[in-house]
Amino acid sequence: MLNIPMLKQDLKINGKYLLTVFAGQMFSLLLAAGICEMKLIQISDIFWDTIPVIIFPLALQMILAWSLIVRCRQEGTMDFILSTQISPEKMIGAKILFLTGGAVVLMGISVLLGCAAKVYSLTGVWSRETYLLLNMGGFCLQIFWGGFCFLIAVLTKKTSFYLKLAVGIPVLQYLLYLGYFLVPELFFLKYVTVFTLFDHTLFSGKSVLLWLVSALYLVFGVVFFCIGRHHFLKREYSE
Amino acid sequence: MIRFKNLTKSYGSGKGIFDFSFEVEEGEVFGFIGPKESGKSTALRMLMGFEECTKGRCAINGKDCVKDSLSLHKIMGYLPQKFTLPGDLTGKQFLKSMAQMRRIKNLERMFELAVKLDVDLDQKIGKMSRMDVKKTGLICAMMHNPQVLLLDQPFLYLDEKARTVLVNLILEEKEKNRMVILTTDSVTGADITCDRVALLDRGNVAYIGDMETLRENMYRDFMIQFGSSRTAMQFSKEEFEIKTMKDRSVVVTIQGEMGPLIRVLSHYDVTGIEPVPMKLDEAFVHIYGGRVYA
Repeated sequence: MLNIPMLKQDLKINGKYLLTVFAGQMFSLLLAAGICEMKLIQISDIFWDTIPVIIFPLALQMILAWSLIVRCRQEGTMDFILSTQISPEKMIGAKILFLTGGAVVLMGISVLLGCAAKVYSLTGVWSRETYLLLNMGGFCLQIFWGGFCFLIAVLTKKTSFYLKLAVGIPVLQYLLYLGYFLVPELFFLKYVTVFTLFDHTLFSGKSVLLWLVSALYLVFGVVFFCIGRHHFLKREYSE
Repeated sequence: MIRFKNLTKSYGSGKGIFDFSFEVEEGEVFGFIGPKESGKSTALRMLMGFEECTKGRCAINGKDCVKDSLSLHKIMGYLPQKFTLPGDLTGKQFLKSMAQMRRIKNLERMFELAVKLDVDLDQKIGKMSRMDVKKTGLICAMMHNPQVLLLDQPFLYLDEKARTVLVNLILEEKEKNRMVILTTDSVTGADITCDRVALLDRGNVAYIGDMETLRENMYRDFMIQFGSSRTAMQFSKEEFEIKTMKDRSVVVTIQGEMGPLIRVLSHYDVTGIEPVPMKLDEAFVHIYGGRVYA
């Protein structure tokens, strides 16, 4: 699964995306830490708790799945790679590794930085332990969305189709979540968005449910990756 | 040797390739000629083992193209029809990473091809012209000296100079006893390189044979300018198929050799003669009296 030349090529091609998202992630954490120290404004949990855990990693996975699969096919690079002695299994394995690896490293760095900067002392309900639990849940959530984006990327060769589904659906789900969170009258929205499961009270209260929810995300994510991989290996990846 | 045996790949609603059965020998340059969606690219992708066959099989040196695709890729070079390559990389970066994937350490051939094809590999692919991107793809397909070379529309986007270089490269491969299969949508593209061709029509082999025979059977149009309209009128009474006639100009269709036409024209006051490009569809109509598989 670990094909060094291919990973190096993917790193060179996607370097600018990785740098941009990593810089954004670090900036948001530092900003949060700065605001925390100043204690000037009351910032909602929904903002600071979700930007490094949901927004940036999700954006990274959306971009990477598109670049690694959809664009690679559009550009014809995939045909060239497949004409070498790299097996389709190895190739798609390396793509999955790069996709999930990117999100893991991004979240890992933000966890370290978050712990060091005491970002989550902002609201008073977060401790280092609950913060780590939140990121564990966030990681499982990213596997879920990563698998989803990967599946859509494998199913299509068209960017417009990818944008509609792999970007449109998660964004719509998140907007519904925001609607439900910010406007109590819209409580019914919680039944139509998967983000409801990622309720911060679960993590801050160390509920047993958080393990169940995280496992659910993880399982669905892995299933999406498996379906996508299976579809890719049906040997119809060139058209 | 490349062998197609009843090879069929159906995508439904009449698309795909159907019942391909023929062989390509070592040292042979073979061409698939056909209009869009006639199955040219599908045939090459089947040889690459990119897709499962619906029926039949294709094999290279006795090895199944799907089951043994990985070991076969070692001796194969492939140029896809449409590609743009990663714009953020330079040509050299892209080719080096592809060479690493092929475990090639000696990059001499890569640089030799770059010089022959006159392409600057230090340039970012995103800033290259379409022709230079095509040349980079050609280098990628040929830099490991493959025994079997599959080129999908290799002449597309190339200028006359680059076409000549590519023709020479293909003929060099032939001299080295290697197999080359190329696709093209014009008979003239295959004319100078191919030993044998297969004309494809909606996924079916409408004709397979050597280029010489095809050339003899081909119909070609020529526009002849006469000294006066009266001369043109006189010529129209000769036993040639006149396609159109306007004032001093006559478009005449001939089959095979031009000798008889030149002999007759020597008796007339002719001021100019030039070939009229014939669309592939027209050539099909002439050779087979229309589409073979309606």
